[in-house]
Amino acid sequence: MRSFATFAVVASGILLAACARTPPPTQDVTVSLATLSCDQAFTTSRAKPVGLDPEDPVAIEFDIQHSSPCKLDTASNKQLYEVVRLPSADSPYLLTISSPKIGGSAFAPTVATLSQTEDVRRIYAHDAFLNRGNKLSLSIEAAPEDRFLVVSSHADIVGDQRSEITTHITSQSHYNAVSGISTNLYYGSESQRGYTMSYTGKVIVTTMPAPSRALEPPSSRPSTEKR
Amino acid sequence: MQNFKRGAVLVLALAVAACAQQPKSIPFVKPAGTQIQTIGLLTPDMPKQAAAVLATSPGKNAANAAASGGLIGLAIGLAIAGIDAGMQSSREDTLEDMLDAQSFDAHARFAEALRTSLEEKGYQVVDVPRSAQRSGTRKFLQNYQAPAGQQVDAFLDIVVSGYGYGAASTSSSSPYRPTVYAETRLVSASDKSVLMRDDVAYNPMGGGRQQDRVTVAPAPQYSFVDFETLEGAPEKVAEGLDVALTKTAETIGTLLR
Repeated sequence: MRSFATFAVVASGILLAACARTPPPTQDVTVSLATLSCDQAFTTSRAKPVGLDPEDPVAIEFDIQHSSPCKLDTASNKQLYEVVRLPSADSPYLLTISSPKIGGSAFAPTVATLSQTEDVRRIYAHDAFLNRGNKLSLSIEAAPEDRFLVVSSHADIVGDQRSEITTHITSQSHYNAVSGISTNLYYGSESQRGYTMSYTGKVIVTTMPAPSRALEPPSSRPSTEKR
Repeated sequence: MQNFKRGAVLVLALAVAACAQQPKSIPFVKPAGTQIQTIGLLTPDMPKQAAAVLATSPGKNAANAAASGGLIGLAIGLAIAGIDAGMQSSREDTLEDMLDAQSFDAHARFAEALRTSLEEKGYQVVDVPRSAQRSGTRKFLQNYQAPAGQQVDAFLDIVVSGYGYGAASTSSSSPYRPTVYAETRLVSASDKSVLMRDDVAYNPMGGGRQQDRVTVAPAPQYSFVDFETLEGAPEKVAEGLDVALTKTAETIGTLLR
């Protein structure tokens, strides 16, 4: 009887745990760097490496935090940043930088690529990042000469609050016992959420082989003519 | 019937979009050694008429459910689907009349907004008429030709699979809002390579394929709790669609920076 009671307690605990909702992920929102002192130049000494696979995407995730290096931009705005060491490559490849919207915030990004000698090659401002589902994202074709990627916060948009309306369509399958056929029923709804652009937050950097840039061949159609 | 087909295509596009796996995004790259200064803007391929789509409705679900109930159910399901299609057709005719009364030409407005967007990015724009395609097919061209006497560096091909107003459901918490689905491709005039390929969706219905395309959230002020409310505000309806097409065009321009 005692073991049955123990079993019942354990089983109900497991069931309750299964029912408990996992709290949604969240991240800090930082809209002031007033207490930080920042350098004039950035350092690549703690650059994080990212690889390149000829077949599959390679991604690294990191957080730009309050403790990340800080530098002053050309307008003397403070910006937190992290540096990624880009892979050695013989040919161009696809490089995607994403700032996921987590909880009520998203990292306010701007990026630059640097040469081996740390000269700036290309700069992409915050407005080059476009909304792709649950993240702000920028894809570029990186050249072998791009050796470092600097991901920095962009002071101009930090603190901006953005609101967006999203439509959801869900389906439920219903089984008709009489006909033995399942039917999908569709339900639509709408949600509105907001997020604040932040000096800090998660960043995902992904490399992929460059996509083919050939025009798709005209669709071939099997001949139906009699020979 | 034509309206039903268009609505079906838009709904099907939503369903297919949810299942699609292949990433379609190819970022813009300026070809080495050449400049992209003049873009040949092909007349966008878009449906003649704006859609007025209820993405889900009790009628559609009832038709689905009835159709699973054997032959009699199938007949009932088809009848309900016919009624639902008729309602959509009626909504779309009404929307067309409203836009006509406002002298709103979606095709002209979209082309104009695209031109403005490209010029703001520093490009010169040459209008390129779209060569005739088989009716009913909406897809990128396979051959590109600049108009006689004109020279372009690249062709911007845009296919709008649907535009108009859409609501997620009949609930008042899912109002009608403007929606636009555009597929874009920039092709080099010199070697016919693809310089950029991406999709842009303004207020897409459903979460499928969101990672593979650029999504633009709708402007909140252009919402109508039901179609009757929409019918009562023709000026705002035209304005909302104008904003949606313009924002879509601006986003396409951003892809070519």
